[in-house]
Amino acid sequence: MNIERKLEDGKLVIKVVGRLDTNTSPELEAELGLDGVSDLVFDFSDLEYISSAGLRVLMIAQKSMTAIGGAMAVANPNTGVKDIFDITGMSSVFKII
Amino acid sequence: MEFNELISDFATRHKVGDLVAVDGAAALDIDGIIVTIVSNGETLTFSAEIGEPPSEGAAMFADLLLEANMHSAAFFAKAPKSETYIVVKRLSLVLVDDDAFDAALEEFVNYVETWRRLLTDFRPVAKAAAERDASENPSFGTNGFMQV
Repeated sequence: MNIERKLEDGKLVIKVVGRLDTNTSPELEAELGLDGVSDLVFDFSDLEYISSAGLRVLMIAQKSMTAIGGAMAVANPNTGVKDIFDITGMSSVFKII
Repeated sequence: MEFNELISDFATRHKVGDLVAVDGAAALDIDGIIVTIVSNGETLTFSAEIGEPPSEGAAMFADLLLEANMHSAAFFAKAPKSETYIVVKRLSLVLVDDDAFDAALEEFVNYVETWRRLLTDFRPVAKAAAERDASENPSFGTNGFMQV
């Protein structure tokens, strides 16, 4: 998995490439420094798979953003990742753009 | 009951430290099994992973999952390209109180553990069967030589 962070004017875009699973989720969780962030976007255009461990990290991020009055969205998930959001019910929890 | 109330009651009763909850969703780590729970106001959806399909006998194992789908309140799924089976259970939020939630979650986790164990046990058996089949029924390549 590869993670790219880009912070500009309070908007943080985290691009995740590869698989977000039990092995790689701690790495993403460690990258969730949200100081000065008002908008958080996970760019999943190159994410191949997300596991329940990955969903848990997204929930941690969502909780942090809600606590500071910010917003979070998940952008460009592929069909497989979107299917996982749908079947687990997470499509109604995260804003998907 | 309200979802947030259910989750916070559960965390308090069972002293769950590693609980992540946002409005309408939660993730619990129970003995290494991460269970996500989502509410849409009417239904609770539990989900967790079983594991990757076996390298040998994947079709046979998928048949077992399909058969189990017919007899269980939970069902198996595999998203395209995901390489991982997940198990999902849905129940009506209206019918769930604290005790029913505990029972449903325990039953779900036991089900996940059972199928994880079955998958683990299945892998070496399927691999051995495939190796036995290969030795008993050698195949021949396009050049006419036996493939080993």
